[in-house]
Amino acid sequence: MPRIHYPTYLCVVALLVSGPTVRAQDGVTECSIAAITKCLGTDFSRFLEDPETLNKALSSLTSLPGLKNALGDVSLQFKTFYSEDSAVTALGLGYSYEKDIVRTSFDASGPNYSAFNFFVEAEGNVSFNGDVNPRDFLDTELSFSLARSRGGVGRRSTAAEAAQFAMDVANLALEDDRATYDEAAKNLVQTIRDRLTNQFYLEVALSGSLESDQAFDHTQYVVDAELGLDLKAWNKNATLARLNIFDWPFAVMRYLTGVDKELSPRGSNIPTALIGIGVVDPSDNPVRESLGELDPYWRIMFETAFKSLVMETTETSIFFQSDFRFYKELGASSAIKDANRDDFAYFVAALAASNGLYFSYSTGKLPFDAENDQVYELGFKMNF
Amino acid sequence: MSTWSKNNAAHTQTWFTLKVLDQSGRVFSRSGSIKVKQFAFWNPTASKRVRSVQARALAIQIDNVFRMVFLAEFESGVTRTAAINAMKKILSDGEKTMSDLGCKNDENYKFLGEPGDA
Repeated sequence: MPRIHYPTYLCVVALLVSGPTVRAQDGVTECSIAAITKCLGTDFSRFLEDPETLNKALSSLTSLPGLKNALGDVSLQFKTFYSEDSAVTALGLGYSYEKDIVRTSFDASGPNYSAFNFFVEAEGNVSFNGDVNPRDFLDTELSFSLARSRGGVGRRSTAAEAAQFAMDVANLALEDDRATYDEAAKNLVQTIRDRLTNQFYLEVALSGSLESDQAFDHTQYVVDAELGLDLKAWNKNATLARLNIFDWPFAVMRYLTGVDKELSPRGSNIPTALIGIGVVDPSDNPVRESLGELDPYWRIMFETAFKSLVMETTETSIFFQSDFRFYKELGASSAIKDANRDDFAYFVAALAASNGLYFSYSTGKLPFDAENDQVYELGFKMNF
Repeated sequence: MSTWSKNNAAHTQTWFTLKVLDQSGRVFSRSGSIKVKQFAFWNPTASKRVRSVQARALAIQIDNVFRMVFLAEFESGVTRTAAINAMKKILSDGEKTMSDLGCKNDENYKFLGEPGDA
C-alpha cells in the first residue's frame, strides 16, 4: 500500500464523500476521484471503502493539538455498514460524546457510596448511504442521576494481610499456564471472596433524550425518570447467590463440564433491571402522524438483562446473554391500540463464544420497528 | 500511559480483582489486551443504560476491593468519586482494555507494593 499523508488524505476524503464530484467554482475546477487519482497516481476509490484506513487518517488529523482541543470529548470512528439483505455495504461514521457537568459525592470510608451526577451523552451511527442504515437508535441524552451503593466488602484487611495479598497476587501474575494458575489462585480467591458481601446498587436518573431510527425518518423526544437496580452477591456462599434461580441451569452446565468444581450458582450475575416512566413527544413521528396522534403521551418501560458463563476452556468462553424490554403507552387511544402501537415487547437471547461464533434468537419489536419479527441468527464475529 | 506489566501493582491488583469478581479468568500475561466487551458483565444484547448501571456498580465494587482488601489509597488530589467515575467511563466502553483500566487505576490509586508505597 502506498504511503499516505493522512491529514491531506482525510481532506481529500472529506471532499469526495460529499458526492462523486465536487466543483470548487461552477465550471472552473472539477475535483473527482478520477482527477485525484490521475494527479497523485493512487487509486483513492478503494481507500474510500476502507474504514481502517479512514480511521488512521482521522486519528492523525484529530491528534493535531488545535483540533484535539476543539473536539474535546467527541469521539469519531468510520465504520462499514451492511444492509438488511447483506447485499450492499456503505461507509458511515460512528460518534459519541460524553461530558460530565457536575459530579458530587457523599463519601463514606467503608463500602457505602452515594453520588449525584449530571452529564450530557450522545452516541450513534450515521451511514453516508441513506439506504444502508444500522438498526440501533441514535441516542442523545441529558441526564441527572443519584446513585447509591450499599455493601460489597464486609471487613477491612489488616496491614499484614494486605501486604501478603499483594505479594501473593504479584507471584500469581508470573504464572503463564492457565490450569496451574487456577489451582494456585484458588485459595487466595476464596479468602478474598469470603470478605465480600452482597452489594445493593440503586440509581435514579432523570433524562431527556432523542430516540430515532437511523434515517431520522422517525424521531421522538423522551423525558423520563428511570430506576436502575443492580444486586450482586459477590460471596458465592451467600444465600442470595443460591437464590439466583436464573443461573442454576448454567451452574449445572458449568459443573458437568468441569468449569466449576462444585455446583454453585453465581451471585455476580443476578439480572439487572431498569424501570422507567416518561413523557414522549412524537411530533416528528410520521407513523403517529398518519394516525392523527401527535399529542405527547406517557410511557412506562421495563428492561432486564442477564448474562452467564456456560462453559470455558483455556482458549474459549461461551456465554448465554439475554435481554427483555417492554414499553407501554398509558391511556392509549383506540386508534393507537388498533394499529398495535400501544405496547412493544422485545426479547433476545444468544449463545456467544469468545472466538466469535454466536447463535441468537430474537422476537418482538421495539418502538421504531414496524413488524413483529422472530429472527434466528447464526454467525461469526471478529474481536479485533 | 504505563505498559501492562507484572511488575506494576496497579495492573496486577486490577487483574486479580476482576478475577475475584468473576469478570475474567485469564493469566496475567494474556489479560492486558482483553477488551471490556469481553468481561463477564458486558451484555451486548442489553441497552446502553443497563450497561451503564452495571458499569458504575462494578466500578464501586472494584474501588471497595482496592481500598478495603488491598488497602490501596488515593493518589494525591484524587477523590473516591473521581476514581470511580474514571473506572466507570472505561467500563462503559467495550473497546477499552484491561490494560486501559489498570493504567487508569495506576494514576488514581497508590497500591501496596508500588515503589514508595505507604
